[in-house]
Amino acid sequence: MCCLKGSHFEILLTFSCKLLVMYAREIEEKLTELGIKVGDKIKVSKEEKYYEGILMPRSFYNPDVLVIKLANGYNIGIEWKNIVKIEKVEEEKKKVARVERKEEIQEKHEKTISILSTGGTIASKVDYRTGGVRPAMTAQDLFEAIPELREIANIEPRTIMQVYSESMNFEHYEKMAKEVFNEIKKGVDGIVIAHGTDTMHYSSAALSFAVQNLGIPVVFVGAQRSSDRGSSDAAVNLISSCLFASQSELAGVFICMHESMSDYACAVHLGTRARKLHASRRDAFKSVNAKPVARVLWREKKIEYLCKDCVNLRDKNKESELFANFEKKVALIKLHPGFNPEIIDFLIEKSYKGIVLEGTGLGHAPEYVMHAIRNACEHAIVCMTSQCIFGRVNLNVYYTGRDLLKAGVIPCEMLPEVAFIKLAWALGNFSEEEVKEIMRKNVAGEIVERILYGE
Amino acid sequence: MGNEKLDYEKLGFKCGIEIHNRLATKHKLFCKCPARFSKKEKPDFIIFRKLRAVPGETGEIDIAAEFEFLRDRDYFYHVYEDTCCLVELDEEPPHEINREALFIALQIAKMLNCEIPDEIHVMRKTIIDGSNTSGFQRTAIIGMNGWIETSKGKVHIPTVCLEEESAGIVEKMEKKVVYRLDRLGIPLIEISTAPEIKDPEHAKEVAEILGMIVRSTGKSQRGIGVTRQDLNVSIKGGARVEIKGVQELELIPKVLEFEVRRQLELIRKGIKPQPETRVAKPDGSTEFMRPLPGGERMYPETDIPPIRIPKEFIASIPLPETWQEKLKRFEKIIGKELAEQIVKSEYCEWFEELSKTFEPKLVARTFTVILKSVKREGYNIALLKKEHFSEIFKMVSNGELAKEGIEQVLKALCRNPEKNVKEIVKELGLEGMNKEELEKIIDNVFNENPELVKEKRFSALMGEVMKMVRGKADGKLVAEMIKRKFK
Repeated sequence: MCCLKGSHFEILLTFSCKLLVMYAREIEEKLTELGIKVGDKIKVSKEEKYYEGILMPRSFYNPDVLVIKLANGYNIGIEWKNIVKIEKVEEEKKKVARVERKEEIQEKHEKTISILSTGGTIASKVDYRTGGVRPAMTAQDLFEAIPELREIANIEPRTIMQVYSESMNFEHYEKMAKEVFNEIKKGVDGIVIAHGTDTMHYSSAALSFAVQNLGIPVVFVGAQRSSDRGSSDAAVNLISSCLFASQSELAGVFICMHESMSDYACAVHLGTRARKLHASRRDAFKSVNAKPVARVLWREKKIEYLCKDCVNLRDKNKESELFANFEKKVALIKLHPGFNPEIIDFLIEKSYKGIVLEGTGLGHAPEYVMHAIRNACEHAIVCMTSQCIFGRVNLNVYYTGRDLLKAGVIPCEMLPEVAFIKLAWALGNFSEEEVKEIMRKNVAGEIVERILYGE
Repeated sequence: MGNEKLDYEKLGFKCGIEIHNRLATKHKLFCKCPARFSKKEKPDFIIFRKLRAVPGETGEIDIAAEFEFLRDRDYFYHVYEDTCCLVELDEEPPHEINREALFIALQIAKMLNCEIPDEIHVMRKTIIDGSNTSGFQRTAIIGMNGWIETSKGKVHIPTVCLEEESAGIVEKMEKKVVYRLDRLGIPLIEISTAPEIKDPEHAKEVAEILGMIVRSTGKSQRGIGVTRQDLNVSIKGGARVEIKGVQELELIPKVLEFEVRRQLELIRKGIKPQPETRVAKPDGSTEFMRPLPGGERMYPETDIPPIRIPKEFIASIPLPETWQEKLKRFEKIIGKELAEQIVKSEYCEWFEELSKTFEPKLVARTFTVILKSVKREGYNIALLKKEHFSEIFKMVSNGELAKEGIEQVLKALCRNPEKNVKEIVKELGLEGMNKEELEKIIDNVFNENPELVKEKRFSALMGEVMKMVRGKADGKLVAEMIKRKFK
């Protein structure tokens, strides 16, 4: 399987940190008996030859192959059954304490922003020995990696969780919303949230709804290439998001990522209008049915606004309100040829409170699913979105659509992921009647009023 | 620089070389793009990138990496859609390693008497001069602890690596470097020797032998820049200097001697030579490129699973004919001297193929003596294609072109590679004379020189005729006709 992220690091981490990569039992036992640990220098004899190197953790493929790092830096694998003898040559050298850099006093800027780290590629550091990644987002790490950040604003970085974005949950949204709310109360001028990219647009939608009456920018940022490589997009994205968080005239929840495959600029998308549209490209995030609201020319330290009047302006005096509850019994279902209506029946049986359907075309469902949908509408809120991604839902054009309306399905003119988050949020904070109204109303810019030629 | 002869042993001369050779596989090493240069004249688009120095394991930034970062260069990449996909753009993870390339690399490792790891691990070697869009080069050890036999004893081969070729430079300025991405990712074989090379001439011999071994797989790309030699050299009291990018075998001894003399000169002036990477210039001198990179530039490429190499598989890999065997076979057909030249030549493969149809000695001489002379005059012989040669040989064997005209035709082809051989022969007026015309000329010469005819002065008459027909008629044919006329 090829991980469609920047790298396999994420899988590796799961293995190396949570399960510990183990060699086959027989090997582990032998190593323990010899007092050999990963990181020790060993000598492995194989027939008449021998190899010297540092014992590496097992890669997650063949547990019966010993991996050592040779003096020239290369790793090789040696089959356990070919090994005649193993000796320990040297205990792992405890890393020499890092050269203590003088804790430089940050210049005092007019603006102060917080960087909240939640995990993901952007907030990870590579362990050069194993190639695995580990979380790293101390202030020190951050400024060492990207010294340019010091020149932007007073920055207070903090790790609030360590979660790969594919594992995000409603609890994480609640925690994130509360943390953001607290930072606002502290009086910061902007907030940057470092986040894994897979589900960043779900999180940005969640915060767009959970924190109402927002007077400052809250900017989600991630990386598609891990920061171990010189080509990582992490630095450009972080610099741009910090510039936007501190300097932008706009308030709201945004996503700030590469605008193109080049390093010229980052695009700033409204948190309820963006979607990850590519598995691996730097410019994976695009505003759907709309322009990005701004672009950050990070080298010139300039922000170009593309849609100032579709977003609220910065106003630090605004009193934000927190609505951080999410209903967990909500599902997002894709309709397709051969769709089995039992899936919907099952959700109702399990007393789901909300279902977002991703219909075909303008928001259609197979006729033979109608019965299940009608039944669902009696017990839950059912919303319709379009799996086309681009364009709008419209249930008035064909009779299948009109039937859905008649059954009580609510057409949602927004991205399916946003509708899903919005429904969970609405059900978590409001009454059923209010929810029906909220789902049709533009709460956080999720409904694009005019879709233009260029989008 | 002095010209006194150097005693390399006394100077503590230490030298190891690395040769790099692009492989002629169907696809690139980590994606399905064709492993060749683009056929397009202009790039389809250009992307702009910055690269950053990344701290290594100890938190220290590699000195070579920092050097590049501090230059704050802008990198531009020319993207050609016929030879580049998202993998070259560092916008998609690498695919699995190219099995064809791996097979060739294993063949080479076997020929170099290497041990082959049970499991091959692809690594990332940090490089941030922009030549790799990712900021690192993917590389794997395929063979270890091998050796070759040379005229000055055994030279060990610590490693044989299979790696991805870097991007080619289009333009380099102080703050901006432009690369083309078609070359990036072509499989590259890297063979390193131990620092056991005795002197500059020995270095050339070692490079020659390694080149012959790689070419014997029949899967080496050809042309300028396909083979590159890096030379590592130091002397007592000096420093280890890595000289990159020596493309010509002939240049190796010169570059090494220059470097030794440069270090000696520094030492004489009381300056300690610094460990550094230098780049070779066409005249054999070198210039500073960057500090020598430190260690720890290597960490695992976790996007590519390790590759298990079963013993039985290694045993089943067939070995091509060795260069020594080839030499013996050629000696019988074309003699020792030509055979020695042709096995060392990049054109060995073409020779094999074309000598089946055409006169082997002529083919061998063309690929060695004649081509060398064309190249010496500054012609870009990389432009010559196999089809050019086979057409030339065909015309010669049909009597449409004299052997003596080959050199002129090749030079003209280098100037106009898009023209075909027939056109060029015609333009140059080298179309072979038919026998009747030749007969007429010989008759004339006989009539004008009755004395010589009477005394049967063969070579004098031959000289007279050749004066008039050189390049248009084959000397052998002329000789035959004169002899016949004597009877």
